[in-house]
Amino acid sequence: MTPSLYGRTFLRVSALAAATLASVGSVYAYDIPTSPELVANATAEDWASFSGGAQLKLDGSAASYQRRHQHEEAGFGGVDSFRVSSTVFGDRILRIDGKAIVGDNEYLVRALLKDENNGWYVDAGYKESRVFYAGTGGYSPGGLWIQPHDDQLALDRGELWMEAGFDKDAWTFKIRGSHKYRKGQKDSTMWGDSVYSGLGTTARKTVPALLDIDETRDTIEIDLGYVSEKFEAGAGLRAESIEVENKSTILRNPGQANPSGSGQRYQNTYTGSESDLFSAHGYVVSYVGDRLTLSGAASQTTMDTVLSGDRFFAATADGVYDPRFPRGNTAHGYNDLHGDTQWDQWVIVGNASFVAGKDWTIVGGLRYENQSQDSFSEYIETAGPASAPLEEPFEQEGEREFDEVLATIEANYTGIDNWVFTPFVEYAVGSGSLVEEQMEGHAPAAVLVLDRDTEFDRDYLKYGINGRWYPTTWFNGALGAYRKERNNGYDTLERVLPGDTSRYPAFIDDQDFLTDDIYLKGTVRAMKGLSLTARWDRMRTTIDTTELAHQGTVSSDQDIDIISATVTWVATSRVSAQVGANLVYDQMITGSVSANTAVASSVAKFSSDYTTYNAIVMVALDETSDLQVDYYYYSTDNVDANYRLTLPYGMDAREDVLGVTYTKRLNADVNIALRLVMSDYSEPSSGGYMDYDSQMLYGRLQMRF
Amino acid sequence: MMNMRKRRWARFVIPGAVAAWAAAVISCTSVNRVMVVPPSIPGATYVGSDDCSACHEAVTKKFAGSTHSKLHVNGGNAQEIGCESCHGPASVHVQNGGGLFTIVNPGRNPDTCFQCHVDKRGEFSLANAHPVMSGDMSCSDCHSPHEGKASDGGAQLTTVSDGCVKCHAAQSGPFVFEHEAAREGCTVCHSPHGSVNQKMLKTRNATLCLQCHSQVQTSTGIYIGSRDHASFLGQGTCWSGGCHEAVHGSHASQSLRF
Repeated sequence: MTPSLYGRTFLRVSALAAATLASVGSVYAYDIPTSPELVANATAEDWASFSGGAQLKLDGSAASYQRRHQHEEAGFGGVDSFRVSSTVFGDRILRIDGKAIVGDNEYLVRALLKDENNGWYVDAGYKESRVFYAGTGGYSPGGLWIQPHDDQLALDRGELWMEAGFDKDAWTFKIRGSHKYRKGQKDSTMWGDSVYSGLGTTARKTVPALLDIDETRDTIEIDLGYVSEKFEAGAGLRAESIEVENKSTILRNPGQANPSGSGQRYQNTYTGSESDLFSAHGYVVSYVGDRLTLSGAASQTTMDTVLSGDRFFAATADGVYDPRFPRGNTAHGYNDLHGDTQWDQWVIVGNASFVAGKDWTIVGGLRYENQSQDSFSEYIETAGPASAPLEEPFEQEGEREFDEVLATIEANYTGIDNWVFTPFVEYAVGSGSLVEEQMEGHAPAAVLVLDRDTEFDRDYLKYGINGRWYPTTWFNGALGAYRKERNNGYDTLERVLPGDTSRYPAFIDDQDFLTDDIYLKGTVRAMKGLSLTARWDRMRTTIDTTELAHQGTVSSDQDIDIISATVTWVATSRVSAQVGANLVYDQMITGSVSANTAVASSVAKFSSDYTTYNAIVMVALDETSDLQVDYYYYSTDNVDANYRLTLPYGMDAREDVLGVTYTKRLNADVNIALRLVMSDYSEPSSGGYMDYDSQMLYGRLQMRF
Repeated sequence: MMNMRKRRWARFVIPGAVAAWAAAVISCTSVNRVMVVPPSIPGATYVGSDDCSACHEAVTKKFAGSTHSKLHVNGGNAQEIGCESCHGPASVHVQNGGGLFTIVNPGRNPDTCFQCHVDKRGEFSLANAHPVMSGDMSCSDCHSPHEGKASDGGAQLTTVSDGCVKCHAAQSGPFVFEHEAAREGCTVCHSPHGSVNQKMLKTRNATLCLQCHSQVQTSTGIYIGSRDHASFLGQGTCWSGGCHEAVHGSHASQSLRF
């Protein structure tokens, strides 16, 4: 049977389906379709791929649609991928890659110049991609809807870079400079409060906050490496400059009058920092005979950060500080926060891999880490009523240091035919100290309001085993289990100060985390073309907490079960299908130290259960065209008492997505694709304000040349 | 509700039925084609991992200690276990000297990873997930499939959380007032592959914090720390506006209020 001239397309289409099932309409190419004939005689290495998409219909929340499908609601289009390569300056290779999708804001241009004979290269480029967010919220079960900000939000990530290096004989060298940025707006779950809660007059915090993100990171890296048959070594340096200029905007008590200072107001918080980071590392690897490999590495990193910030309340999101603006409860602010932090880290690791016998390999490792940090800041706190505003200076300092040693050992045993076992143990122990001080007031009348020294120790143990079994060529199974224990102890010496009510972490005396995890997986190839992979994961995590002056309690008990399966069926030479499912049961129960009374607003239980199904059918219509039909289903229903008491969003939702894709090869190097996606999302727990019903049409033209 | 369901199904069933009918009709014609599913390469056969090391020695040399190397067993039943388990049959790739499109690259397409990690497909398909499905991220951005621990854990220079702060600089600190939970790692509060809760949180309300900050119920209220929180717990989350917004750490408030 002749392999399909277009068979590669189905690999592509399947990949496309994986993307489109959730991010519907991601028609951007992972690869270009290629036939076996072209593959076998591949000489052309250049291509261009154009794609675009538009709404046929969009009813409901555009912000919700954009978040889910990661496409601009107004449509998108452009070059989703191109490559041009040629030989220049003799036999050097120049390759240009690019992408430019307007609307979705996906851009790339990259140039690679490579001299394979002499081993050097230069790589430079620019890329940017966008993630859409929905700032939708403000729904109260009473039916009121509050939308304080534009809810169609997006955040762009980008990088501009240049790299040069060589890989010649035994030596490698790389120098790379890059400028990364993250800029835009996203929603935040630092919810604002509203009395329109549907629960009487009780304020409820369900109004989404807005984050303005402006972060940059400039990096220069230099790496040098040497490789011989028995020895490897390398060293690297990294210098970074990180700048953060972020702002959060929270609308408090929307719609309420403001006579007493507890009405509508914007809480504007500006957070800034400038960090300089320097890191150096080195490593050696020695191959001692054929059975023993030894390696070691060390790194040292320092980071100095200068802080800045303001937080105040105003009538608008872009307002300025006014000391007489009514603030209301929990409305402390600060002006002119400034300070600095220093952070140092040492890490030393050593590893050994020993082939103990024909069927045994043992790998052991040690890791030592030391971290220390000093932080200092001061600001003017703003509080008090509008008629008598207070401005009080505060300054605070924190010092922290800890050491930790981690030891790991792992064995791999293959002594039984068609079995492999991998037992492992990890153990870590560490200790450190934390000193915190806070002063309030003007000198010389300033008073110490916090004076706390904490000594802490931690130990961690994880052990388990993984096994894999291939009893036949048509079935294999895997089983794994581990237990993870972490014990944290705190010894806090706190000077009791006037008005001090003792705060975290001073309250926690001891905390023990325990996780038991098991998974079981099987793959059956029942007949030619039909395979099933099924997996069951179970995890249980408990946290035992002992607080000062109280008995210990199980403060958290979480159970997670995940059942997942995929069936793949190549039914005939022309039809294949894949069906998958994920059933997730996830419940967390939080305990209380005592239960002398039942308080109505207690929060004790939360579920994150959900179900997803996905299916895809691919059919070869003829020698040049394919049809794909895919379907995705998602549902979650975790409505219980907490729904009324706390935060409703997303507790009850359902999504159906149906896609149909037609692909046609016009000639050996050109193909086109059309994709229609119908999507329906409903979320009663957001009062229907996140719902949408959409139909989207996408097209793609791909060419090789 | 019933009408909504009927409308929903009508919206999907009709186009689906049309598509199925079209496929059924067309399948009656004769087409000389072969379907492939990942990781597969049309026309290629398995050649074994030894051929891979001829060009990719830097990768294969370190592969022995990787998580994925533990798929290998002695005996004859585990056929085709090796590089081609994930990258697809490589005969064509070898024949033409490593040409483009002749090998599967899971770094650009998560479908291969999902063949074994079947639960991750569902998690990444959720609305609150890292953008792997849209192609803006790949599994290999966080995991190293060819060497050591799959997430740079164990005896490595870096830790799991170091991978997170590569992109999330503002959350990395250090802060004057630390949140101790950050030392346990980002995954104490976040599910990095995807969650039904916003911001990939493990839970969406106060239970997230109550895991560690246990409630002390008395006849007068619910105490967390030294303060009665009974009237606060029903208001939303602990990190709501005006309460404990600075969950990753604070330069101003010992209670992480802001």
